[in-house]
Amino acid sequence: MSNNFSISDPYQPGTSVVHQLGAQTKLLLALGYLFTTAAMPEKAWKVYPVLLILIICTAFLARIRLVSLIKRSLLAFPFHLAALPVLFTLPGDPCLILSWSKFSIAVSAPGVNRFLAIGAKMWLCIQAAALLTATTPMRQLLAAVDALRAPKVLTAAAALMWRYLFVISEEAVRLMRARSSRSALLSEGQGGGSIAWRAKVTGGMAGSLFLRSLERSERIYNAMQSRGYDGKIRTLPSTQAEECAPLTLVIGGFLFACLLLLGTLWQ
Amino acid sequence: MFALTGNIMAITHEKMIEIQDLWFEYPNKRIALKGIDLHIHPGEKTALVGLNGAGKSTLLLHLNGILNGHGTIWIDGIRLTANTVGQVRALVGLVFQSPDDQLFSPTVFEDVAYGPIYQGLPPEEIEARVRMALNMVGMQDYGDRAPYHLSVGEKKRVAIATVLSMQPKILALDEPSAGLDPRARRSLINLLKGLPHTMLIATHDLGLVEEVASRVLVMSEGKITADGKTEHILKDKETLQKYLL
Repeated sequence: MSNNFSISDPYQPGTSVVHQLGAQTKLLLALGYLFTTAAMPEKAWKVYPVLLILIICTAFLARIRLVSLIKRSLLAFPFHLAALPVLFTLPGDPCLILSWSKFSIAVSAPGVNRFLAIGAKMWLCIQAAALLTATTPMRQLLAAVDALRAPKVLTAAAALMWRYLFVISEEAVRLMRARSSRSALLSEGQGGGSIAWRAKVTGGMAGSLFLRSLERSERIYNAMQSRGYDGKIRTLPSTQAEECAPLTLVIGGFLFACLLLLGTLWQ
Repeated sequence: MFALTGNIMAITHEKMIEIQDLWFEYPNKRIALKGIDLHIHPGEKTALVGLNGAGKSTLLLHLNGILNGHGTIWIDGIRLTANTVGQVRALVGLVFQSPDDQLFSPTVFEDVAYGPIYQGLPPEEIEARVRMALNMVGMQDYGDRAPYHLSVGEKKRVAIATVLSMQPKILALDEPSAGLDPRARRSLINLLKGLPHTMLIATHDLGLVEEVASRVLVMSEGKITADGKTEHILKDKETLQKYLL
């Protein structure tokens, strides 16, 4: 296993129009895009390419490489598996029957359609989120969320998670390096230990990482308490979130409404 | 009764820190502090030395009520109780061993502003305090940086700034030179020598002790086993060998 695994900041600095747009505006447009994509009727297959073209054009304007967006959107794949049951549970004409011994199970046509629609929507939404984080520094995003009056406990938890993601990933890398440095072979051929033993070792590493994180969280809480934390989240009035660009928001809102209308008509 | 309280306040006020018969037992039944008696005068820089597990960090965590043992603690004339813990935390700046535990905000500025925000200060005062604290540790140009991207030495300096912004009277530092390279360590020693605060420094670094502290307390198995001027303790080979220092 590679020991060069690391979590890097997804923000890619730049001077493009997209980078210069205020964080609040970008956040609202991204939320609008997510809502439009999620609310799109599942049979509106002609509109999905338009939603993809929107992402491609924005990435082009922001000078973000499409390959990096597609790589990040692969994150959606495991979540896509959660939609597998709809293949078999949605009523409709069977388009495929899977048989094994005395058992058989039918895959319905509406199930396939919904499964593919969920996959496409998820993939598009992840790309929109990846594009947002690639063009907006995290602290500006958090300030924008705060300025939109999201619960402070939510932004504080997100800020802490962001801060310690890197620290914990470094600990994971150190654990993996320690394992690799003791994974030696005496002679050529297969290394020792069964798969079950290796799984146990990996499980132990995950447990150790969890315990270390838990202990760290206690130390952080102590540090917060010693500087006066009393259970209430307090922050300075936000000065980092820039003003919204109303014209851009109106144009974006109009575009999303048109896409939803088209999706309803073309399904 | 009132007069007596007044007398106690007058006596204890001459001592910045006063601890009487402090005991503490962890939930796993390990007794970490066994009857600590201690007083530290204003402006005194005191080092707390001893092996791992001697109770140094546990003692520091008692100074601002993070841990609560049995015994009495007075900080600048205020008896530490559940009602006064907020006041006491404004007086004691506790700097933890790992700066990654201390620096939990997305930017250096927000981290240094955390204490003043919780003190309920107005935004202009908070900003002024953050600038002052960052200036004191020589990190005035790092306000917008993410703590994650700083070196260990820089993180330590910012960690000290996070408590200086609260304008405490006491600095309690846990292993401040641990993990520092020689240049960062030298820079930290110079910083600590220049700060006017009353200090209690838990450390294994006898070089730092010699340069910064005027008094040394030796801890062993939850007790203070030696207390004296730095030059005397560090020359006392018998004591140093006895406690494996």
